[in-house]
Amino acid sequence: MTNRSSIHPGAWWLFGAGAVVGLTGVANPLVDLLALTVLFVVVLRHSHGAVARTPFATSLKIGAILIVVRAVFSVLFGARTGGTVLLNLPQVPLPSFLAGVSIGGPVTTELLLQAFCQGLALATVLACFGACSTLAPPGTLLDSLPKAVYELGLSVAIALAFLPELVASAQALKAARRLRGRPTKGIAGLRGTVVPVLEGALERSVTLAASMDARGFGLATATPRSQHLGTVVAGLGTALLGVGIAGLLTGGSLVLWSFLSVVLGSCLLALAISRRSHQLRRTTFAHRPFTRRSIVVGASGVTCGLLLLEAGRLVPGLMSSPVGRGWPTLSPLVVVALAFLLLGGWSAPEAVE
Amino acid sequence: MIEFLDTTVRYDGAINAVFAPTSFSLQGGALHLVIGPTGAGKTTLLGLLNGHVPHFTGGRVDGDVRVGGRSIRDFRPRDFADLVGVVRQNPRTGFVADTVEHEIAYAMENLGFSRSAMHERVTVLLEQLELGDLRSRKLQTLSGGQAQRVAIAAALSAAPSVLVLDEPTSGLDPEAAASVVGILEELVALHGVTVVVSEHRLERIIGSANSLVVVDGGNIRHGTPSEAMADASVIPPIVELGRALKWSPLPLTVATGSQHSEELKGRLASHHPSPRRLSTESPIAVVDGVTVSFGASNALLAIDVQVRPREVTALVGHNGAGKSTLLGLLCGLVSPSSGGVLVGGEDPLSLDPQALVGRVGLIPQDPGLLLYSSSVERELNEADRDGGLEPGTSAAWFAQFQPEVEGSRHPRDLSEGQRLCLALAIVMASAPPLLLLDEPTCGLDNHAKEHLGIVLGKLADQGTAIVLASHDVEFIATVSDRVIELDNGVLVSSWPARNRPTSRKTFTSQMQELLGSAEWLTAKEVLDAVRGTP
Repeated sequence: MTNRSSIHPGAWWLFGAGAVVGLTGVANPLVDLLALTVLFVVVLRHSHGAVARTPFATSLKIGAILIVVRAVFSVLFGARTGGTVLLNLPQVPLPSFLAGVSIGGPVTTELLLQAFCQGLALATVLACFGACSTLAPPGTLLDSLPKAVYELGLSVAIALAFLPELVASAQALKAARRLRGRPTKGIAGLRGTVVPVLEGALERSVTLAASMDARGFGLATATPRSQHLGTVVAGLGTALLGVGIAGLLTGGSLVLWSFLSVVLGSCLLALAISRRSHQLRRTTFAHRPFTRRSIVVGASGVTCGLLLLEAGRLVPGLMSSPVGRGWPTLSPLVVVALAFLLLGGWSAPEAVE
Repeated sequence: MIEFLDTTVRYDGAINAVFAPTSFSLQGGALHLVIGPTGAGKTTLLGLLNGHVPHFTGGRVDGDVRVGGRSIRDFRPRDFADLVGVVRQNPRTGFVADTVEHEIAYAMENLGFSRSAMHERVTVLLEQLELGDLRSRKLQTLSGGQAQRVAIAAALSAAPSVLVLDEPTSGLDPEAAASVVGILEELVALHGVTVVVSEHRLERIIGSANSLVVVDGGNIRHGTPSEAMADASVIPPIVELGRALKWSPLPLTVATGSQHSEELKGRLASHHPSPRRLSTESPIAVVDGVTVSFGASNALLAIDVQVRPREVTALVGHNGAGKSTLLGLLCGLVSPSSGGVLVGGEDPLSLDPQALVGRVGLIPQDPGLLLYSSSVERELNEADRDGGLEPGTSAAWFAQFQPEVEGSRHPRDLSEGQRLCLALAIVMASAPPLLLLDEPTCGLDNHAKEHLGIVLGKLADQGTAIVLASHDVEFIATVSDRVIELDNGVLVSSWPARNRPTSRKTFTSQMQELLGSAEWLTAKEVLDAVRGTP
């Protein structure tokens, strides 16, 4: 029924979330590169050979930029630790109270390698999100949300969908500025573009809202009065939850009260959401059951994440950058974890277009 | 089905009501056409039909509008969702979902249809609107005509008995427009839907209308098409001809007018229309064997075009034929994959913005893109500054195009036609020898179109080379000296406007079709010749 595979979108996001948990802060380039390869293979299988136009490809590009930026910052401001000097930059003398900060100075192989490893760690996490958006576009998650939060989710999805359009209209404006003989670069170019782009976006949102209104968006069976009551209950629940969490985090003397406040707030919020869900007439068109195969996909991601954490715990230093300590290494557990990820992602049936 | 009872609308902050109190009723199971100049209130009238006015737009409605017995006083747009389907001017801006089938199902989801009912109805609608093979396509990948048909399917989703469309064919090429009009006819005839549609290009749809609502100068009149056409100010060429020659009954389409064509041909036998401009000067722009590829597909394939001064060249072809790409090439917005482009002897891509404006000017499809200031006056002053021109240069051009607009008005508040003239003044201030226009008549009413035709004619006479891309067959017939047809990125033909074979029916003007000859392009030419006969 859907053009994606029959895997539930939530399963793909669970798959990605597991990988993110396991790979966050992992600066071992072998682990990162292996993980990137696995993600690439999984995305390749599910994107009909059009990998270049997927969000995953975009996330890889942004990741590459991140690595370069990280390296440039390191060269300019990084702490000097010694090592093989490649190039000597003039160093700006700084007052003694700024110890530990440096501007310029010798550029060493170690400095660059360190920067690369840390940039790669960030890029890998980013690629996990890119893979999720490719395997299950955020919009497809909408139908799995409870009806009451569907409206909220839809606003987020529309905001996300507008981003590429903003880019498109910025390009149109840039072209128009060129046609009027105006600068297209620099601050002046930016100022002339931002305002009209935002104006255009606002206009589009109003048109979209009108279109949704005319097609029965938010049509409820309940009376306005009982809907207002729902809003009050939801507001109260959110407030209690917020106060409770704040109390717990600050660790004051009112731990018990804070805990009760969290429980009560959650209950009220759940009540409001379920009430609202019953009031809305909405049904969903796409049917995406959480099949056994979906469970396999989701579980493979989670297992991978847990195994990676465990691997890091068993061999201290395995997951951090190896610079200055010799070659990066892998442990068997890391390979097993990533194999889970690969098999889980591969097991999903190929999408039919 | 639809009743207006002493209806009048006044927007917040406006001094005058949009139109005077009006009462009339529109019969069910018929196609009602709403016409009138831009800004006269057509969109407001359509907005009333599902309570979009005033619930969404604000403003005050006196009197009442009842649709299927429901009053807009008590029902909001969402409460009309099962009764009135709405298709807005630019269908893409109203898309909510990401795929065709999901977009169509959207209204049903909101109304709580069961899943099986939704799938059944989506299948029926896909078939009815000839969208069968597009079921799971992404909405962004659709062509203009496809997007319009998806928007109609989405509006019909909850099986409403009333369908409201605001200028559904304005962005479409003649063939895609004809297909949309055919679908509307079928909805009325086979499914008893009441269709209310506004349209500027009357010639495209008037033959299918059962009644006409004319919104003009603050008044609304409702009548049969022939009644209303007898004294309307906005009329298609065949009606203009019929009215002037006192044909009775007044023909509304070429088909009904054809009974007079033999007689007319006889009267025109020894006449020829005054010749169009045909320049012998050396070309100002040369496109030499250019191919433009986007990814694996070719937007243009080995195109050779020469543009000469003192000529109006029209580019015609279906949506996506490569017309806008060709314009982009000529002004340095698109780079050729192979081949070369020279404008005034130089490659437009190599010119910096300042030098570019002196050589070529482009009016984009949305002229508002060229405008940024908060008033007409400032806009014109800035244009002088940008171009390093004598202060007042742009203002002088604007006064020539559009004398009666106050300088203090905001460009956004101008009518489409006025905005186009403002953009034109700004571009022409730098006196580029080459002027490009992309779909200039989209959103213009007949008066504004006529005015634009005169302005372009003058510019060409003064020596400007003009290239315009358009779907508007009648406008092209009025202004063009040469017609270039593109199809799928390939140049099909390039002819002087009067010699172009009329075998391609979709790009043929009403007069050409009526008289079966390429020579006579507009009603005015025919009438001038006939009146000249003793």
